[in-house]
Amino acid sequence: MSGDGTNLTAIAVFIGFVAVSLAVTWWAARRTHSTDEFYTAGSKITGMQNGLALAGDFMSAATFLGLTGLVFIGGSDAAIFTLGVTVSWAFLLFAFADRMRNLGRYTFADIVAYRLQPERLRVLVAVGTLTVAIPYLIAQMVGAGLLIETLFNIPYFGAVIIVGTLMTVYVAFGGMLATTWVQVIKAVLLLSGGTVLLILALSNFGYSLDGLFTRAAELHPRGVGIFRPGGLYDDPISVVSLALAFICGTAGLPHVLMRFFTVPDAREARRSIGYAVLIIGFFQFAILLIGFAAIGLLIGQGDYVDEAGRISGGANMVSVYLARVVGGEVFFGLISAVAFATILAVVAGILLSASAAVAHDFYARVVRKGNISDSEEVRVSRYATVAIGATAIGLSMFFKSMNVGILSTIALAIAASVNFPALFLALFWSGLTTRGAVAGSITGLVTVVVLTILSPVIWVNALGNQTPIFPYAYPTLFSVSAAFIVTILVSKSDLSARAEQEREAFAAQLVKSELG
Amino acid sequence: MLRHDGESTSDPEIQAALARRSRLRWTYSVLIIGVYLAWAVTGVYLPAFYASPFLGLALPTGIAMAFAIIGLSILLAAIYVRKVDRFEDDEKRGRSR
Repeated sequence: MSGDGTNLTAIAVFIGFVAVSLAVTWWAARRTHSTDEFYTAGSKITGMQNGLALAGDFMSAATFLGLTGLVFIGGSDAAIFTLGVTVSWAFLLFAFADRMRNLGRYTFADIVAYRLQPERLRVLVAVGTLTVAIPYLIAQMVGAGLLIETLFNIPYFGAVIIVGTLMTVYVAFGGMLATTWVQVIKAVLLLSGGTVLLILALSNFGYSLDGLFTRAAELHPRGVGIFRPGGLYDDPISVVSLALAFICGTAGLPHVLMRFFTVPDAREARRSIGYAVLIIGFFQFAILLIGFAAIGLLIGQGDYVDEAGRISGGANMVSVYLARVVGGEVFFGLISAVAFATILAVVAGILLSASAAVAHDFYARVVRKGNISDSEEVRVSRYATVAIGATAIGLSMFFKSMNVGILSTIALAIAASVNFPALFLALFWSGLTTRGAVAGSITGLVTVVVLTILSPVIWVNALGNQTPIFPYAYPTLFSVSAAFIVTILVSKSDLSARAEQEREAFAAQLVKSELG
Repeated sequence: MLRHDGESTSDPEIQAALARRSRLRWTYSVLIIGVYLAWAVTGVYLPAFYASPFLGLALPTGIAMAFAIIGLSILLAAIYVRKVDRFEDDEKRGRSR
């Protein structure tokens, strides 16, 4: 990036995307009046559309820009991430799709609260949702701000305000319908952009994988060592912890879980996740190849990467640089604009799930105990959206220097440790009681936060201490196990009459969850 | 859809439907997560094998396996969706008979 003025294609494509997304929001706003419409688009989204939107929710800037950069730096180790993403979606289909759709209505709290004491659990799940959504939102917005600063020469603060305002407008006016269509458009753009990037990159090696990997090994400072696992993680506990963060974390992300309710029935829910597995699997395959192709095409290109493999502007810039090298200025502008559109769509989905937690789970169900009219709840959701959007903009100003990768991994680890155990046991274990779910979720939250602070990523890299107190980069193996063990022990020791009713209610829940 | 109210949860037909779905769910879940974890942990112990050329090509063996596991996820997902759709159709037919 030479910083010589701004790229007209990037600006044109970006303005085009914003114009179309605002038109979609205007169209959706006229169809969004009830809570059903605001939270779930009236459950009228088709399996194919929802599959694209789900894939879009997960193909964030962190996956497209971050993972390509990670392949560039870490070589084969990055495959643990790309594979983890794909496998976690297949697991989500097998274990969760039917039961989630059949039991829930707006948020995943509906499911955890199905046979337990609803008020205590909704507070808990609302807190769980916000502790995942806020760091995730900030991570994406900081990433967006930095990307726009580099690509469009707009100052960081201005960029964050643009992203924050647009996402708030999409959600506050267009609800789930606008959020879904913005996500679908972006997913199609990102998939086509990524595919063209892969084909252009492969054409440089005569479409030969053999040529691609030979060249990558010749150029990389670590040579064939780039293909050896162990550069980033060389102990089995870190590897298993990371794998668990993906498998349990994906199934605990509130904005992903909320999408189960936008389709009419369990059959369409299965279909939509089936499509999401296909799309995400293909995209992760492409990212692995794009990353290795970038090694073969960028190293030694003075403007971007020097002989030692140091990337100017950071590892996140690898895919956009590759676009410029293989496709020229126009394609570079296109990929930059698509990367920006990606962030915009993802933050909208997260914001909607956060405002549903505050307005539906906390305000309507707990504070007002369900005595609230439909139109008033929609109004409260819109206020909540604006308040959370403004908070996220404000916080992003403070976290500019925070590493984006760390923030989003922390969010995934929290989702795995707080939301996943309660949801999984609510769906599959008849013995779960309210007391157990509350104790387990709090244990998961405390363990994951404390271990993350004591781990190398924060204790050493961020706080500047010499040695970490907790030696592993990812706490999930320990925090998820702790949450499960405490939930099970407390549930079993709960001998109250209420707990007995909760256990008995499982049989009816089981049939409804499987057969509709 | 099957009929189900409070008492009918012991209905053998419903029990069979539940068991069939549960078997499919856990077989596929354990299979895909097991393959993934086995691949990731083996890499820690056999890095040289993972870096070695796959079938004499420059493509590293570990990456070739990663591609195969992505393919397996997609394949299992497609089969799962079809199978459960068929279960549902059978259950509907069983009820109207």
